[in-house]
Amino acid sequence: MRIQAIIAFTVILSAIITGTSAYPWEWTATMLGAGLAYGALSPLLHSRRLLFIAGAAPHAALAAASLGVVAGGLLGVDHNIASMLIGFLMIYSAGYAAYKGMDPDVAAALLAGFTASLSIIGLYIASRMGLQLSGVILGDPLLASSIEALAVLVIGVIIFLASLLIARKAAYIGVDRDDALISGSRVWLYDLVLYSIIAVSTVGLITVVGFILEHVLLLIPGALILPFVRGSRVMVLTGGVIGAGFSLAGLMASTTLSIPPAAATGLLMMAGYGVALYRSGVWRGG
Amino acid sequence: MKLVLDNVTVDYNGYTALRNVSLTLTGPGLYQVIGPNGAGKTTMLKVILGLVKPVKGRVLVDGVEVTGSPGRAGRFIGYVPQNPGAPQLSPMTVIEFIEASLEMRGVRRPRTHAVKALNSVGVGREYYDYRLWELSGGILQRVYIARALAPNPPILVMDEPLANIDPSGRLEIAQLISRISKDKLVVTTSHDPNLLLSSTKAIIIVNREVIAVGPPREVMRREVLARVYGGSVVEGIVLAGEGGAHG
Repeated sequence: MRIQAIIAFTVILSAIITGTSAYPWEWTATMLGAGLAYGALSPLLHSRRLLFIAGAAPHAALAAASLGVVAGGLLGVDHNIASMLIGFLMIYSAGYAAYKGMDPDVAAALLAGFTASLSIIGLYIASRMGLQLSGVILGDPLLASSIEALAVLVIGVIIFLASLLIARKAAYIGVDRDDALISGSRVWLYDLVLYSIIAVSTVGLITVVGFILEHVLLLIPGALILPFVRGSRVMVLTGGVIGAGFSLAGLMASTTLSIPPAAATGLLMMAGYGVALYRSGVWRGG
Repeated sequence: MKLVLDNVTVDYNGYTALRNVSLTLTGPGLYQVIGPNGAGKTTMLKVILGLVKPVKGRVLVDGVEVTGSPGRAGRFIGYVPQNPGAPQLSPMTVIEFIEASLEMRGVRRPRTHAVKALNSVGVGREYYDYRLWELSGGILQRVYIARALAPNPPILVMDEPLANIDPSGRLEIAQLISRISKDKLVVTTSHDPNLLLSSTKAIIIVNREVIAVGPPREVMRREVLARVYGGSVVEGIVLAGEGGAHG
C-alpha cells in the first residue's frame, strides 16, 4: 500500500507539473480542484452509507443552478449566490429529514423526485433567460475564468481538508449511529458538515463538472478504492490523490483525443474501477 | 449501581410495544431479559439507552434521569447491539473502531484504552488492522464488547449477544459475559430460553409487559413460559433446574 501510494503521488505530481506547463493554469487548477473534492467526498459517502443521497445531490444541484439563474434574473441578485442558497436549502432539508429519523434512502428519493421536477421548470425558464444549458448539464472546465478556476481549486482543497477532518467520526457514525448518539458527541454537527460538503461540491462545481458526470464522480472513486484501503483517514487521503490524478489524466486525454475533459475523466475512472474490480477478485470468483 | 424503569410505556404509532414496565436492577450482576420475537426486549434496551422515548414513565441510573437522552445514558452505559454492524467495504479497522468510539466520548489516550479493552476480551494484536467486515461473527462480537467496555461504564447492555454465533464461540462469549457481570451491572436479552447464562442473577420474562421477574429457578417454570411461548414450544425447553444453564 505504501509503495502504491508513493507511485500514485509521483504520478500526480508529474501530472501537475505537466499540466501547469502544458496547459493554461486555469485548466489544471479546475481539474485538480474538482478531482480533490470528489475523490475525497466519494469514499466518505460510501463509508457513511449515504450513496442514495450522493445519487440525488446532483439533481438538487441542477435545480439549484437553473433556479439560481431565474432568481438572479427576476430579483437582480448574483445567480451563483442564489444557486448556492437554493442548493443548501434542498440538501439540508433531506439531511434534516434523515437526522430526524426518516430512512435516508426515502429522504434521498424525495429529494431526487422533487428537485428533478423543479429543475425542468428552472431549465425551461433559465434557457429563455440565456443560461448555457450545455455548461450545466455537460460541464466544461476549460471555459472556467481565472476567478472560477481559483474558486474551484479553493473549494477542492477545503472539501478535501474538511473530509479528512471528519473522516473517522463520519465512518464511525456509518457503522453504528446508535452508539454515536449514546457517546454524547454532536452527531448533528458531523451530519451538518457532511451535508454542507455535499452541497458545496455538487452545487458549487456543477458548471465545471456537469450534472451527468457529478453522478459518476460522486460514486466511482469510493467504489474504486474501498476494497484496498484500511482506515478512514487513509481512505480520504487516497481518494483525494486518486481523484486528482484521474482528473489531470482526464485533462491530458481530452486534449489528445479532442473530447470533453469531464467525459475523459469519467471514462478513465470507469476503466480504473474495472481494474480495481479485477484486482479485488470479484471477476475471478474470489 | 441502580437502574430503575419506572412505569414505562412505549407506543409506536398506536402499537404498544411495552406497557407499564417497572423494574429495579442493582449491580453488579447479570440480568437476562427473555421473551419471544416482538416481545419488546430490544425496545426495553433502547429505552434504557435513551434511544427510544417512552410515552409514559422514566428511566433512572443512580437517581439520574436518562429518559430519552442517549447522551446522558451513555455516561453510565455501554452498548452491544443485536447483529453488530460490519458494513461491507467500511474502511474502519478494529483498532480504529474502538479508538473512534473513545474519541467520540472525549476519552484521552484512546489507543491505550482501546488496547486494554481488546486484551480484556481476548482480541490480540493480529486483529487490530482487520477491517470489521473481515472478521468472523465471534470475533466481531468480542470487538463490540471491547468497544462497550473501553470507556469503563458501570452498566453494560447487550442485545442478543449469543445469537448468530456458533456453539463453541457461544460458550466463550457466555463465559466472557459472566466474568464481566462480576464487576458490572449487565443486562442481556435473548429470544431463546435455552440460551440461559449460568451466572444470571435474575430473569425478566417479557411479552410487551413484564410477565415474571426473579432468580432462574423461581421464574423459569413451564406454566410461566407457556404463557409467553405457547405450550408446544415449552416442551423443547430445558429448564435451569434441569441442567439447562450454559456458560
